[in-house]
Amino acid sequence: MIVQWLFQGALQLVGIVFAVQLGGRGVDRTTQMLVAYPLGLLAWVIASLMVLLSPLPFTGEITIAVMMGLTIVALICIVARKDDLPAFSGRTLLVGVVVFNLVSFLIHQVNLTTVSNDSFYILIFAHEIGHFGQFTELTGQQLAGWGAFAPISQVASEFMNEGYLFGTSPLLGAITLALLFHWTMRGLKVLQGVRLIAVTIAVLSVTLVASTPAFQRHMTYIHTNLGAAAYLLIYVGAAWMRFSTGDRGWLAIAVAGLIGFSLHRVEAPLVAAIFLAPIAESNEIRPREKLTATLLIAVFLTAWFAVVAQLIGDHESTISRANIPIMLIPAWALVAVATASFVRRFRFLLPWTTVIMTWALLLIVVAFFVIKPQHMEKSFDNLTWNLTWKGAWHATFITLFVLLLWTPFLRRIPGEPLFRAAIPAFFLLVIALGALRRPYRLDFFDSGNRMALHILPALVFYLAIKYGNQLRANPPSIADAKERTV
Amino acid sequence: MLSSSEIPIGPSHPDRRGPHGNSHDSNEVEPADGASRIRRFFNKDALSAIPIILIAASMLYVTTTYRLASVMTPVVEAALWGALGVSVLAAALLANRRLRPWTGLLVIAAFSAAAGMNAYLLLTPRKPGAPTALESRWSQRRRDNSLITLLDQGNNFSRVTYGAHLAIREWIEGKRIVSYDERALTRRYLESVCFVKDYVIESYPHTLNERAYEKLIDTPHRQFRFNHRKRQDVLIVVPEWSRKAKILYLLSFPERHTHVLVPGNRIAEMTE
Repeated sequence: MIVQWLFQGALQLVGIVFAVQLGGRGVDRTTQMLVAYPLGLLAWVIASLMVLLSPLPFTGEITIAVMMGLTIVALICIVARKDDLPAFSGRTLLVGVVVFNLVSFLIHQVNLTTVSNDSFYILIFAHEIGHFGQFTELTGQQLAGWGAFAPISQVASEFMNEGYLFGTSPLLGAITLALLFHWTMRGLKVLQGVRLIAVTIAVLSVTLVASTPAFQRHMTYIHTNLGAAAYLLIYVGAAWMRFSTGDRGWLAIAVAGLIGFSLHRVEAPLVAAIFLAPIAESNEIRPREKLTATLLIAVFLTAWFAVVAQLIGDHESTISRANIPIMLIPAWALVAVATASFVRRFRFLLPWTTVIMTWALLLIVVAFFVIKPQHMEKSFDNLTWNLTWKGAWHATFITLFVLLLWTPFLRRIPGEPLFRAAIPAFFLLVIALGALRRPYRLDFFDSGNRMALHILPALVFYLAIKYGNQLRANPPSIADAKERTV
Repeated sequence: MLSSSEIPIGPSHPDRRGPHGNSHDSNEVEPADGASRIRRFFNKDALSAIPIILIAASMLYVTTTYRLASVMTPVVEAALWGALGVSVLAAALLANRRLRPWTGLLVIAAFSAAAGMNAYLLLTPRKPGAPTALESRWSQRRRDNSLITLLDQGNNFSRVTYGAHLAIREWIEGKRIVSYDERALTRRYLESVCFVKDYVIESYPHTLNERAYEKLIDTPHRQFRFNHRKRQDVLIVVPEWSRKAKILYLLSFPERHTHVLVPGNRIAEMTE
């Protein structure tokens, strides 16, 4: 237990360096401390992949050396830009590290893990990679059906001679709740500045998510979904802060979050494109910034899926060699959109990107209902029924759907397309994916039901700031909002 | 429902930026070019609002019309009445311009109600005397984090398959496998999933035939464990998961030397 606890603590320390490097002065210290562990975990996964794909032997020592190398590069970058150093006091650092390690210690003391068949496949996958030091035939094939993040992060357990890492999911869950609280508070402060209301709504948001049985189960469940939800919240929250405060550091954190999300599941490039589209289309973000963000994601996804295509060979599961290019098209289309923003003549078309995306998905879903009526009816019925009753969500999604229904009639908030376009597009994509497989089934473990977790924290965050913003009769200007965040 | 002044303006064109460089605080009139004419004709925000309303409404519709009659419990009923109440209140608040800012209170009311209901369900046993969901989960805590312990929590298939997988990887090369199942599937699993090339499959010992296991079903497994000690260090393969396989597992697993492999349908999926 101690070894695992120390390992998780080390990941947080590494993550702090990346959080400071990416966020710079504009991102607040609490956020940097909260995103540190997810970024450290991402650094571990990327370092592992770098070693696995290089001629170097894949051992714990070499992976740690590569991760430390990446960390040193980040440190050099921090030192190099003295003018943009965040006001990071020793006390903040100490409090952040102590609180994280205390929570981590409690989690490791409780030692509660939930498993299913999928969990064992993830662990088999992880131990195979760690044991053989390379992607074997089995693990390569498994990549066609799984994302790489969960198994690769679990490889650490093989190096530690432990059965599995049981602290990862609870820690990511705790950080999701903490981020939801902090960003809801901060978001409402940016928008209206009434502290009591902000605290009340933030506490209730966290209570709602934490009291949802599905979220609780995922907090101890070895799977891909809670990690995906945590990294998607990091992306959505940081991207929204970029819209509302105008600071570039937020976008860098957001991009890192989206890369972490993209490694979690094989269909992630499609979801990533959905959430990246509002950034690509926005005229509120500088064209060069948009191009950098979209290009980074597109190049990363292309490079990773080129590797996946080699590893899976002719094996077909959720993805195959044939459909990998199709999955990458949306990301490159967004690069084209970001590039078009350099051309003044095309700028008026950009805001239509998310509308076209959402309606295209809506038409695809309608087409599937026409082509496969029984299949889609069953799939949609089961998905809905899971979300509202059977899927261990209790009252959560019913409440969220009712609140969602009225959002178009409420006052607009900055970065609105990030939610108004991406949330329906996400659900439409989940419904559409149901057409390409067996219909979703009535069960907590159903894939569609589990994917709903990805959007839960981001959806609660949106509704909290959207409705919370209504309590002030005259919303502040963006300039006021920026002043409040400094 | 939307008054013309309430319809939000789309993201800013750089030419339309306000004094703070952002469209959010801009009320400038758009230039009458082709682009703005298109924008006026198709209101972007109205179009982007339709999918969100469609999805939320259709999911609520499906829930209330298709399924609820069969599972109407006090909790479901309360959730529905709550949802209806929030909807009616939202409509009433939105209809009145002065009251509109108070829609913000809806999120406080709705989140409180939903969290309260979730907590109620979490802390209330489904049957009298049964543990609550929270108690059940708390009781699953363990002292160590070995895979062996984790296997105890998994379902039957996973437990056996993963135990077998570990066993194979650790010491199966050149070892003897006592098999109840000599189908090609066993060999395929060993060779293509576990990468074991050197093994011997023997038929299952007659002393432990199916009939014998039927007798063992209701007997505490502890006393029979002794009988199996001589069978440590082998992998036992049975054709499918069954009560006798479970007993085999219980008999052998505490020693951590004998493992049971059940090459069922899921293994076939892995190898195909």
